[in-house]
Amino acid sequence: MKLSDKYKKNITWILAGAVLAVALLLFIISQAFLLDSDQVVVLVDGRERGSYFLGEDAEIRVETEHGYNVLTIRDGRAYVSEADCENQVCVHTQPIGRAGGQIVCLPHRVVIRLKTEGKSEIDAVTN
Amino acid sequence: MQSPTRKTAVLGLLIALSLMFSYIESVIPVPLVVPGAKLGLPNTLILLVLYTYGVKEAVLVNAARIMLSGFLFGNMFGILYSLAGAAVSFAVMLLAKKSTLFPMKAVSILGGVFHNIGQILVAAFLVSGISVMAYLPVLLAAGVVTGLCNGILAEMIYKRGIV
Repeated sequence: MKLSDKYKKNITWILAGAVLAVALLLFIISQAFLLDSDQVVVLVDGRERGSYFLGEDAEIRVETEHGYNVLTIRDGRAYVSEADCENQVCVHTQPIGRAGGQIVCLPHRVVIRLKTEGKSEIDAVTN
Repeated sequence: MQSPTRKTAVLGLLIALSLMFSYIESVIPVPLVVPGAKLGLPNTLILLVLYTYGVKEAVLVNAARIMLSGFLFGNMFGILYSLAGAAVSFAVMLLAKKSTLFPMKAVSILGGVFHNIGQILVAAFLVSGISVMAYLPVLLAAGVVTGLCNGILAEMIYKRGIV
């Protein structure tokens, strides 16, 4: 009985710790596979729409059948400055730089991420 | 235990409340913005209904909330998206509760984590090109934190027997 009580009390923290440990592990793995790319690629519905150098400031209007997203590249970082989607998740997403990351606009089926060119096995699996 | 009238009234109130939580969530931009990451406030109520009344009632409140908030503040796409997250999350919470291995807080954590896993999987399925690996660590950690907070809240309300 005593053991069971102790178990009940701790299982929440063990569970929380275990999931956080898995998250940390996945994070470390994903960092290990980090690509050092100087280009971002814009995918609409999985198809490549274009790729752009992070080194060149630019403003690219991405038109999709659901709406538009404006991709802005400034000081080596890329972000969505404007979009007419209803949730604006892409606009609130942190800018991506050479270190990685991705911007997704689910309503418009737009994905903006570092150009991989088959260097990352993880990305190949999840595609 | 409770009169059917009282139960109907309480469930109606909880649906209204969870609808409000859904709305609050939709206007708060989560600082760590990743598709699928939410505070999960309505889950506090779903958990409460699951423990106080049962599976049927919890499914009812959950489905009603998603349909209502979807039609009011979102669209068909959003409804399917949140249904997927809610269904995965609810199924896992149900199993966890049935197993009697976990206290309410832990059930809530599992719900939060699997909600996020469900949503990112649907997103990856719908929009090819998303790198799931890039999001998963953040989503797992976020699920633990929000799940724990909601679980603590739900447990407090449940123990006081307010509902």
